[in-house]
Amino acid sequence: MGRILLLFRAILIKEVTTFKRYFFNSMGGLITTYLFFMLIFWGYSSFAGGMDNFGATLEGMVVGYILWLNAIMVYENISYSTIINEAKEGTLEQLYMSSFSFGWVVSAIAMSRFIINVFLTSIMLFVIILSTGVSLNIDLVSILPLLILTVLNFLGIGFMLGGVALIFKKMHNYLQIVQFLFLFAIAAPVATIPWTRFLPGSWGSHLIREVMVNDVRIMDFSVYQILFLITIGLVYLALGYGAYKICEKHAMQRGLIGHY
Amino acid sequence: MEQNILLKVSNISKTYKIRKGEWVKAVDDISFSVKKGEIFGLLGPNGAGKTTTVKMICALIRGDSGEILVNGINNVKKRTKALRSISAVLEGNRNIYWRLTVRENLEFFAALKGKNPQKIKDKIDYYIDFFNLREKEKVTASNLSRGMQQKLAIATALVSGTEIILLDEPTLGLDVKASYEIRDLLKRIAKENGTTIIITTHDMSVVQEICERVIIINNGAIIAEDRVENLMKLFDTKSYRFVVEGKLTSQQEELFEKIDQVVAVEKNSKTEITFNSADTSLFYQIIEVLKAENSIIESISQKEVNFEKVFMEIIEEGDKNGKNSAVV
Ligand SMILES: Nc1ncnc2c1ncn2[C@@H]1O[C@H](COP(=O)(O)OP(=O)(O)OP(=O)(O)O)[C@@H](O)[C@H]1O
Ligand SMILES: [Mg+2]
Repeated sequence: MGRILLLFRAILIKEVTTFKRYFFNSMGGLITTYLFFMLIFWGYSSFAGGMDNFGATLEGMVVGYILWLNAIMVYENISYSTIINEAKEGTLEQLYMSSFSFGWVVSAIAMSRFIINVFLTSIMLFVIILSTGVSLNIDLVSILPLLILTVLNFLGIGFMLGGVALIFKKMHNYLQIVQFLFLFAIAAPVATIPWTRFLPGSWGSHLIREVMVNDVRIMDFSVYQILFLITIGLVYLALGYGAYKICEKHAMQRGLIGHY
Repeated sequence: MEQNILLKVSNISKTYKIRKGEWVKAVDDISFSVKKGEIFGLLGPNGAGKTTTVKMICALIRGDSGEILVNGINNVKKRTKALRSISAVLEGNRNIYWRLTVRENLEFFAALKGKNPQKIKDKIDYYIDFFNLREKEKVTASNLSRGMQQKLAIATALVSGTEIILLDEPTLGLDVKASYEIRDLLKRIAKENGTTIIITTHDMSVVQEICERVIIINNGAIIAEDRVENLMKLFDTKSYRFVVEGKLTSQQEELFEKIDQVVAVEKNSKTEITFNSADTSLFYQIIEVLKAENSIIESISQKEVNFEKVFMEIIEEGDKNGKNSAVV
């Protein structure tokens, strides 16, 4: 266990150092993202005839947007930044040759990135709240566990598509399209159309909206609601990682790991 | 099992599928073993199968058949355990994180191999000094020269203290000065640390300078295996130059043309006859042909060995004789 902690620490240091070193690059992207959101927000609120009438939906929209940011970051971190980029840069093979199984290495990367993502999206949320005047319930004790479980869905999909991109190199151009599909999954009306709760991230987003918009606390959810969130998260993660392992085996047979 | 054998490669083969119905045999029944502390070379022209062999040892490419034992541990069945004894630089200067500094890279790679960077601080410092990177310690790898990046890549492989280091084309793309510096450092590492080093290269002089034992690979198969000194000795003594006064007679020309290895060139009213061969009788044959027509032999000298050429000859001979026919 001590050795695993060592790995997590080293990867966290590496990710945070890289992030800090290229902070202004990341910030540039974030500012664009923010301006983009504000554009949609103002367009939406003026089209809908003023904020007052649509206050509740606007709150939902802000939460949905922040969740979507987290979703695409997690997804992109695994599929694009880790698997494809490291393969491109020539370091993926080194990760494969570490003294830990690749699963541990990637878990450590995912966790480190998650911490950075939460930090970034919190700033974003704070700025959006300030500039739109939307009021939200920031109950971290309720939100964080729900967010972690929701993010597992997107982690699974990131693995799956990262694996596919390992084999079909040209694929990565299409990886971004998937991000827009997440938007639908996050906005899915799970209360009115029950089957949509099986979409990646839909159920988790629903619960988080309940917390942030309707002031529900995590303890107020039923055991079944939470159990379903855990189950669906683990299923997506297991399916995604399983798919990745199949792709990985294929890539090892065809000598494609680290060839980009 | 033989004592001191650290790496045992037995009958490995690898065929790549390129597209439907099209296959490339990259590695064809290769076997060799490397002893503890040895500097072992894999020499071969482009596309010979060197990288594939090395990546199979690193368990990055799954072979079709054969077995690789690292310290007696099967590298496919007990992958993670076997890999604890192996570090590799496979992509030259691309093997490191360009956005991290020299020290950060060394610390990260140590941890990746299960070593606590804080506990091996001395070792990290040792390698920073050893590779002359002290001044650049806090510089990101992207801002280093090509040669420094290569040195850092090798240092990251060494820092965790694994028993075997694999280097795929460690001098490729470097200028002459950097290339020589790396060769010197590698020799010193082996001498001072007793690390087992396996190097692939298409450059015969790298093997000659650094390696103790070498296998020569072509078309995926081993065509020669020996200690480097033996290989060199052979080439050295079998490489001659005759300088003859005047032109050769047409009869002599005809005779020499029949022998593949012999090349006769006219130069300023003299004729230069050179040949490379493992066959000593050829030497006497040439003298006989010259004597028969009373040619005056001005000098006989050992030609300066052109390694590239000798190497190509071995390969061609191997091609002629079919696979696995060792020349030596
Ligand atoms: N991933 C791959 N898919 C298909 N064919 C491959 C792959 N990798 C290598 N090959 C082919 O296998 C053969 C051996 O390649 P390999 O890279 O092992 O040779 P090498 O000795 O390292 O050559 P070089 O000096 O060019 O690096 C070549 O014919 C090469 O084209
Ligand atoms: Mg190669």
